Amino acid sequence: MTTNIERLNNLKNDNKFVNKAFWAYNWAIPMNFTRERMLGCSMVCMLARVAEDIYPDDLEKQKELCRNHEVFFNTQQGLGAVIYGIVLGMEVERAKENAVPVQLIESIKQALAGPLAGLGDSLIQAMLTPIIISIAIGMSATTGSLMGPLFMFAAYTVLNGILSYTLFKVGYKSGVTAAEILVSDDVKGRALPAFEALGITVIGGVLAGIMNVKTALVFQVNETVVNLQTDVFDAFFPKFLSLVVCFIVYWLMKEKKWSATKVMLGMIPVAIVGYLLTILA
Amino acid sequence: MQITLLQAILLGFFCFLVSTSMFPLGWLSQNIMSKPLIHCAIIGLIMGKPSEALIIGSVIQAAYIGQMSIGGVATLPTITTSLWFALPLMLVSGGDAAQCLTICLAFAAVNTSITTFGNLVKIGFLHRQDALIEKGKVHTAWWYPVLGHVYTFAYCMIIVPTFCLLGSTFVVDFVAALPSQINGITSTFTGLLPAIGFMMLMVTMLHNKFQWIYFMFGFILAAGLGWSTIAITIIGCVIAYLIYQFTPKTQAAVEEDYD
Repeated sequence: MTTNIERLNNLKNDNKFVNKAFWAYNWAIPMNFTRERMLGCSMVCMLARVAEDIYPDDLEKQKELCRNHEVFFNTQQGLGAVIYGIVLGMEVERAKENAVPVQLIESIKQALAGPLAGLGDSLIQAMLTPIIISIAIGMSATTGSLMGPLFMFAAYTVLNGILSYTLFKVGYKSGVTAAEILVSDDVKGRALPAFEALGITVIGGVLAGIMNVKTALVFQVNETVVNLQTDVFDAFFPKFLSLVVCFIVYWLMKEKKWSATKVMLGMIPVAIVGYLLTILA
Repeated sequence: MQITLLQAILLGFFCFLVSTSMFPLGWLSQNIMSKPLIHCAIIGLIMGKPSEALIIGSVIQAAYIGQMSIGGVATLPTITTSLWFALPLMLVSGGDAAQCLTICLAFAAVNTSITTFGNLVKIGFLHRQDALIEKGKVHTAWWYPVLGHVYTFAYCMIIVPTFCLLGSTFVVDFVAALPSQINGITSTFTGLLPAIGFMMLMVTMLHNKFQWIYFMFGFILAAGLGWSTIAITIIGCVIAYLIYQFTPKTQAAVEEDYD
């Protein structure tokens, strides 16, 4: 047991381990981005890559490590590198004595994802990238020089690389430290419900931003035409239908034990019939 | 001048590489490799006309300078596939940026449908990854989802060379012949999908029904009052701080059963 804790403590400063996880994060992000889990898959890929290092010769623990992250997760990938680092750090800490609750890691992960997405989109997508592109256009617009795209590629990749790698390492170190503080006896029992409340509140907000289920149904009351979406739902409770769909999916998964694949296959006829009957738009 | 078979195949292949978002450096180069100017540079090199391609590319890139992807949804019509046959056709026929964009935009809705269908294929590989983990093949599971790009390979290698060889008139006729419902149904279906990922998360995170209040609170702040995620997070932090302060320390032992 002592040997195992010593080995995990050594991972704190093991650059080879951190680099292995970083490159797995780098390749996993564009590997499988879907509407269902978005970047969730990349988190699983990164942890699967280093599962053997965290739990050597314990296949059940390796499976559990990956299984816990088979959920939705989305952020801005560059600034979000810090989240991948924190999750890795906390998972290493959890491996020591199973003292860090899975829910704590999940809550922190989800709570950070939303704000970093907003900040990252503003800083990187809306500010840094257009500046680099503007310079590149200036280089190529009249002469057709290849220097424009070459500069664009090099400048962005180097800056993004420095940013992502630094944040990943900072996240990893702080994840380990934060986990040590949070699992101390007087903090753990109070921190867990607090982080859960934060995480679930943010998930509610992010979901409302991403999902937008609408209806195209129109009724005629006397001589007035009533559009169910714009005249009723938007006035009474915007995104009401998105919420209804979520509750149905939750009920199917929690109470009826439907798998994600089964729910998705069920959605196909719902989308076709719903669209053709204008119930969904 | 015509596009040769070799050029058409090369265009399809590089379209595939760029469309995976993994070429050449994974996430580090992902966003910049999706920009039209980079696509135009590669297309120009394959066609042997890099300068002409980049002059047209600069105009298209300027139009797309504000393009962003928020929550996986592009803010401008996607032209990343259509550019690979529209620009080569313009380069051989002497067309300009406006004509190139016209073909690209005509194909944008089809492009969206192709991408949406591709998402379904990728979801299949995502769940196959879950299955591999359950079987204990964790090491294989780490790279397995990349195989979802087999779909990207298929559509790039079919669409791009075919349209390059058949010409711009064929592209316009093809788009006009497609039923309009396809795009509507695929976007309706795509709109439903996030519910699966989010609710999987809720199944994991919720311990008691009371916690739905937090979810509803965040949802209403965003949907009803239009609050940004950052503002909601700040409110969430305040709630979390209050819970932390007002939870008695003696509860620590009770919380052990969380794990």
